[in-house]
Amino acid sequence: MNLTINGEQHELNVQTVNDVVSHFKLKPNLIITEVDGEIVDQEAWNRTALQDGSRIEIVEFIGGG
Amino acid sequence: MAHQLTIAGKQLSSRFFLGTGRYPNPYVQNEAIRASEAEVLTFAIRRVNLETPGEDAILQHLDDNHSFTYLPNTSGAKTAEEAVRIARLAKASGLSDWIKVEISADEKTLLPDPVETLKAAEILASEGFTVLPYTSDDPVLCKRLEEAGAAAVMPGGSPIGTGLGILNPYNLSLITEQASVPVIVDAGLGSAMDVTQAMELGADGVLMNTPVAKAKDPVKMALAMKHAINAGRLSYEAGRIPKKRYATASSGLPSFISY
Repeated sequence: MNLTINGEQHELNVQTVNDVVSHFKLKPNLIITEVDGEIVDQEAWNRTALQDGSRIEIVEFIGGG
Repeated sequence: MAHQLTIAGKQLSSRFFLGTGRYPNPYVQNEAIRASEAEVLTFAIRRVNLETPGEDAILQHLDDNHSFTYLPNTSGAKTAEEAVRIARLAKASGLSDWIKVEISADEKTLLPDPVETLKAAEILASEGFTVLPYTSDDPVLCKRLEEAGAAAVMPGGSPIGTGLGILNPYNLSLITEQASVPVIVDAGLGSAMDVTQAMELGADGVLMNTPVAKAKDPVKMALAMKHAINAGRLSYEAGRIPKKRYATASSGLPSFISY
């Protein structure tokens, strides 16, 4: 399906947020996700189904003051 | 010993809030954090780079053996709405419900937008965040932020990363005099002298990043800043002598030996 992830277009064979996290080999404890403007907690990744056109944000903490 | 600082009911072991950006490498950063004895560490939140995930992630580089209080910031936000969104993402990490509201509209000065900052502080405080807004050094605005529910106020000494020190000591002294929440001087400090001045003006703590991270020797500077905070705070608590125009002999005059 077609997804917008962090502002970029991706065509991925995935169904849930968990699939996206695995696809990009992201470390679950380092990231926070949002789907179509709603925060999705880690424990909900497996049951959060994505739709064609879903907008996903994946963020992390980086150094800052 | 100086008195301890408490914010939102949490007693802190240090008055030094340290940023985690711009160090030469993670090793130097950890050594600097250790030397600083800071308990509160600040972070930013950014999109993960999907090409090289994990490279910039800060948490993996920190010393696991130490318990820190995490203060994520909303840097990058230009409006209250954006800051609230970033704050909610930060809280969803489960790491902390403390948030440094940082809303800059002007890229050249990075000065905080007072109207948006106040708006965001109100919303986030009502949502149960422990809100520490980075604000301009305006006594009236600091009071308004306090009334909006800020757990501490964080006026800048001068613009972020400039090292210009405290440009308006008078304003800062008014802020510390009036505040009934802790005052943390955030941004613009350059050296130990600036830090001591902030503390002597009655600040409860300081937040620094660039002056430590970009010093020639960040670890040594972290140590210098730690001592400056302690010296300034102790001097403030001890109560300095009033300034006067003419000399007073330390030993008194009557017992002079004369020929």
